[in-house]
Amino acid sequence: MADLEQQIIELEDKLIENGEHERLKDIIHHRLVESGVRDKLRMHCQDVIRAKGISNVTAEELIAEVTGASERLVPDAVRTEIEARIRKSLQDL
Amino acid sequence: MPTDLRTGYRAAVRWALGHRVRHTALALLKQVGRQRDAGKRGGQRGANAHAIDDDDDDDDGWAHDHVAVELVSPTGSGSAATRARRGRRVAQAIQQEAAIVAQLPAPRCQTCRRLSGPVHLCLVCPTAQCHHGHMQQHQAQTGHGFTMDIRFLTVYCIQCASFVYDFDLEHIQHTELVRHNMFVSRVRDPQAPYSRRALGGWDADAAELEYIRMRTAPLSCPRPRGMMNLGNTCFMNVIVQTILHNPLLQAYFLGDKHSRKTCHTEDCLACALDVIFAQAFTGETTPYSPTSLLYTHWKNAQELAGYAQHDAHEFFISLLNNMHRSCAPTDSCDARQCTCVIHNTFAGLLQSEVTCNMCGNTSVALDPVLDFSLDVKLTKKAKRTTKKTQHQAATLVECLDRFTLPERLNAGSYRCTGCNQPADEAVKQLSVKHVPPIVCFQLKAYQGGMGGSSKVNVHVRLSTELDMTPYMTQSVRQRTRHPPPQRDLASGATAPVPGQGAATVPRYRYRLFAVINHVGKLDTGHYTNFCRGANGQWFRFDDHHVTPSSEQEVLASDVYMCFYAQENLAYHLGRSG
Repeated sequence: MADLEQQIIELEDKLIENGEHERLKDIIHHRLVESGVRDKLRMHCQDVIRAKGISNVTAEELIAEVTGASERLVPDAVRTEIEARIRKSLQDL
Repeated sequence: MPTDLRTGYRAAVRWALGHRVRHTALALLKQVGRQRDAGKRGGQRGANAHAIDDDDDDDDGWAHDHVAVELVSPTGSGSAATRARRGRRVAQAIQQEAAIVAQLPAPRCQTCRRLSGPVHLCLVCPTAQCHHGHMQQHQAQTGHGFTMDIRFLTVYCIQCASFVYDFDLEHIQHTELVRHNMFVSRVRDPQAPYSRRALGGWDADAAELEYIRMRTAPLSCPRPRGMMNLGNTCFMNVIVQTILHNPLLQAYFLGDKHSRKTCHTEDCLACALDVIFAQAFTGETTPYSPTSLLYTHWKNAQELAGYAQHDAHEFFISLLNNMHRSCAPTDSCDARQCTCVIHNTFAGLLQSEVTCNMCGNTSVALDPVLDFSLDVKLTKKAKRTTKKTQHQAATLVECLDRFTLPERLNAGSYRCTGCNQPADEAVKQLSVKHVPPIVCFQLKAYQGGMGGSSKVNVHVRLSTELDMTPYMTQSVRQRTRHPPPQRDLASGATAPVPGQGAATVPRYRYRLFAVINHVGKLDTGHYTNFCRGANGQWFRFDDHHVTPSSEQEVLASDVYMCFYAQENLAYHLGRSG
């Protein structure tokens, strides 16, 4: 287990060094915005805040509440594209 | 906010941002290293770790002398040697930054070594921890209560368990973001324009200032897009242009508050306007056709469908009402309490007080309005002197003064609720109870006459600045209580003393941003408009034809409708009773 984690850290370090880590983050960010996930999630957050009242909700609770739903919001096409992209950048290392 | 927290935040932001541009810094250092090696191989003198003094003209990569020439133009101040030295200083600053950035550790959680998930940096000591769990442990051990999210650079308070916002820290965040963007663009393109101040301490000396003054011209602001006339639709074009230049609606739509992607309302006018906003701000200058808006509006307001000429004001009111319907949070809502963008922007409240002279009883009625319709009538005196001339003149302030003047009601036309008798004498007083952030005035230039109505040829003089304070209920009440109202009534047009009682009433200062003009007769004619664009530049819109204009031209034009925006919006956005 520790071995696996060590490997992951090493891989991440390599991705950071060649700048791929930042590029992947950018791509994911753009895809999520394009596919409307961010908009939908924002609406969802607004609904939660409205239901609870602005003064009785903390960032923690809000995150806990929307985490499950937000993962379901990601379209399959985006998911597969990003997975393929990550796989490719790992192979290119 | 203690000083050490500010320095801590600055360090944390630099860390987080530095991590983001790490690969850029590494690439730069690698390039410089290559250049230095090449210089050594060529038998030239070696450079030390930081100072760059190799003089070879490498075109690829980091060509320092080239940069120096670009930074200060050939005719700029100082000798060639000074210029070269200055250029080297900048290049050196960039490299030092890169060296620091390259050595920054990746912000991993120091407990579980994870990089993904929200990692927070402690603002007191250089510690990175997972937001969930490990940071709380850190706080329990050390008592450090504030952390920063590395992705969004927001400050989190562990005790409040919530993100907190501080003006000073946001200022730091902005300066650091500018610095880092500058760093990246300098590395990518050494000739990119930049501000030396952002890279650390540069002030132009007198000679440089003079050079800047001589060689630069103010940036011409982008010209707004005109709109095609789709068959007598100039009434729509002028209204849409004023909406596009309305600061509040602009912020609303460009801020993606109403997105056509997430809206499910059928024939939604707000969505149609969202499309228009997207089209208008693409940076293109070719005219476009607002077909979607026209079609949606036809569906919403059947009576305005068709290619006939319409009144711009009628269209404006119908557009606002239909937009309210598609923006309002609930279906049945009172215009007075509605929080939709339309009512937040345009809704005002008129107060009409009728005082019975018999018993002194006053009845108050409140009337929600979306705009203020003012009668353009000349005062008797002015009429007499200018009867013969074609063009008569009045000012907007005069119209407003007359609007809030006490009006004597005809005997028998009013039944007092106090003494329950048809009053012989009653005085009606209009005033503005609530003034919206955007005030729209319609100057009623049409006059109902014997043989139908006709257009009055009156030129109403506007002012670019307008103070609404004297027309607010509070000021009117103070005014009517003290000076004798009888004199006002008698002369019919004595302007109320301006600014009286202003000490206790908040100032309501407004600035003109759009004007609609009409030429022609009542039933046929053409609408054009003026709008104030970015940087305060005025433009004249005649359907697809957009020309730069000036304040002078705007004030000289024959006004039908005009729009004012409140100057200090931030303080008065909330709707006061």
